Amino acid sequence: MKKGEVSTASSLLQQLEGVSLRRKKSNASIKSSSKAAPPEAIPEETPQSSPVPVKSTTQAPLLSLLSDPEITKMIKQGAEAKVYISRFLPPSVVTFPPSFKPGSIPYQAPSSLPPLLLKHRFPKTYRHPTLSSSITSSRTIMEARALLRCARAGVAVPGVRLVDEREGILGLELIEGKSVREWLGGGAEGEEDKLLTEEEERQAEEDVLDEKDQIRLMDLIGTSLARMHEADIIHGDLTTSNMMLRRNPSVAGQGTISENGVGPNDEVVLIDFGLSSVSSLAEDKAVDLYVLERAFASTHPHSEGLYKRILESYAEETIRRSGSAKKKGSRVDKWEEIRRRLEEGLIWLE
Amino acid sequence: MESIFLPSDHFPESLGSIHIAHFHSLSNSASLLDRLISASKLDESHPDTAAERSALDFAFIDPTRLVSKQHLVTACLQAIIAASRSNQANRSAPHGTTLPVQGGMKTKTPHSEIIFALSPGNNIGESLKRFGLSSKSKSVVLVKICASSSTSEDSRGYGDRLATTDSILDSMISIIDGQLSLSPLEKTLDGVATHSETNWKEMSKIYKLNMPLLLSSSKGDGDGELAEKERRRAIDIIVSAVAMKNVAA
Repeated sequence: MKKGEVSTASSLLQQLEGVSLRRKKSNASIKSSSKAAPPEAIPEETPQSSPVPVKSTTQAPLLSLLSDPEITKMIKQGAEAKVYISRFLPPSVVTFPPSFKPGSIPYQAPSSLPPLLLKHRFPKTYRHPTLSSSITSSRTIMEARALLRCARAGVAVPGVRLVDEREGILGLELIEGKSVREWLGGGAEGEEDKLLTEEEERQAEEDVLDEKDQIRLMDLIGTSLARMHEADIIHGDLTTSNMMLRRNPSVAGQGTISENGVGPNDEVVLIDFGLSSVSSLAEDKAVDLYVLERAFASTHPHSEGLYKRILESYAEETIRRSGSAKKKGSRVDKWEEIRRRLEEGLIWLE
Repeated sequence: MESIFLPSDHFPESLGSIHIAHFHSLSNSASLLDRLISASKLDESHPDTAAERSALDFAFIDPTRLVSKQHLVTACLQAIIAASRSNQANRSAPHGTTLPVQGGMKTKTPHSEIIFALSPGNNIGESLKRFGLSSKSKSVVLVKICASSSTSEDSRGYGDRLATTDSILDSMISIIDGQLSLSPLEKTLDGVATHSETNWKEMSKIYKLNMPLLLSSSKGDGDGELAEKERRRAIDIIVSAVAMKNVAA
């Protein structure tokens, strides 16, 4: 029985029962009659059905939202997940008490909550449905946990806003701005084959940072990665397209910042923790950095200097942090351990 | 009172709208709490039980434990997701039985589920004690989750909605001795604002924030900007923690 199909009305009830049970872990305590046994245990009992479109009310709310083009727009699709922007919370309707006299206070309309980014790990048809849903939900859970762990460690990441782990849907804070890849002139992802008009090309080139700002950007990245690794989070997919530059306008009196420069309050926000894991091994951290190096080499040719700069500020921050945390002596050598592994792997490093 | 009408095509009808009202200068918190507790103990068969319970059918939340409007709305949405899972499982269950639903409601009503969703722990009693109305509360936030009465998108439907919100607000005012806040919730619940009611010391303890700057900076010193930044960061962590409570490590 596939999701997205239900039977005719007579067996609808049984089908729904099957759906809700199928999603439970097998060890969950369920009071079930033999009729309600999980279909994967006794597949023969799954009622034969002719597909009819699902009524949206029987779907999980967040899943149902994804198929509504009025409020949700898909912005990206990968092999693992689809990413949508959704604005499903309308502005609040305000009700005043009967005693309220209009005009007695200046009326302030409530602002609506910001739109969300919904990341849906859709069911994989090439997997057994049970396996697909258990992999989906465990990956969704891992991603959400990694994000919260990073946020607590002071790494700028998108906030988690909604979680439906059974459907594999994660609601995340939308990060405005462009990726580091774009700021370095690597073009937007997937734009390689697109022909740009002269005007667009000129615009894209203008938006690229100058050398001084590129170095400031690399410092931000290095510091961020050091903090993330300090919290034992391995990102697993470090590329310049998985880093966003969030422009935070500096508070008045801090001097002017050129529109394209990296301002003092700007931060690098790491995104897409879909492949992240938790590990305290220097080996894993070194691999994480190596992945970034490869990504740099392929998307930004002739940028060895930039990657080197990231490592320098990564080293600085790691040493600073392990120095201040007076625990075991071995902690001071953290960077040394990571560096050794990078070199052992014949990775370029001065 | 602010009402949020969720898109009716996607959310279960009975959970279609969220109504939030913030009352300050509250003077009957102790008697209100007594009334809530005694209503929960009423005999099911007594004729007045249903009426009394429906008069008190709201979530009563302590605003000193809220840091932003988004904090509260996130808890409401997670409560609605849990409630819709329970609804769906029980609709298909054999008549008269209640299936324990994984990921479904852990408490009895969507309203208690909001309070439970706010709390990082799994102890329902503790969540009520920490986030619910207390006998010393000087303010309270009432939340009602109910069906949005309109079934169509036409102008008559909109009129129906207004009638419902009026009657919900009336029912709130009838049990509260206090002043309804007329400013938008994102202002009155903003934990960064200077007039904020948020008890940061408690929040820091409850959500295990471990951010010393959050508490050390007293108002008026030069670090005001830093403290504000730190609070914004704390709010982000808190909202994330509420959203993913179900799947927390």
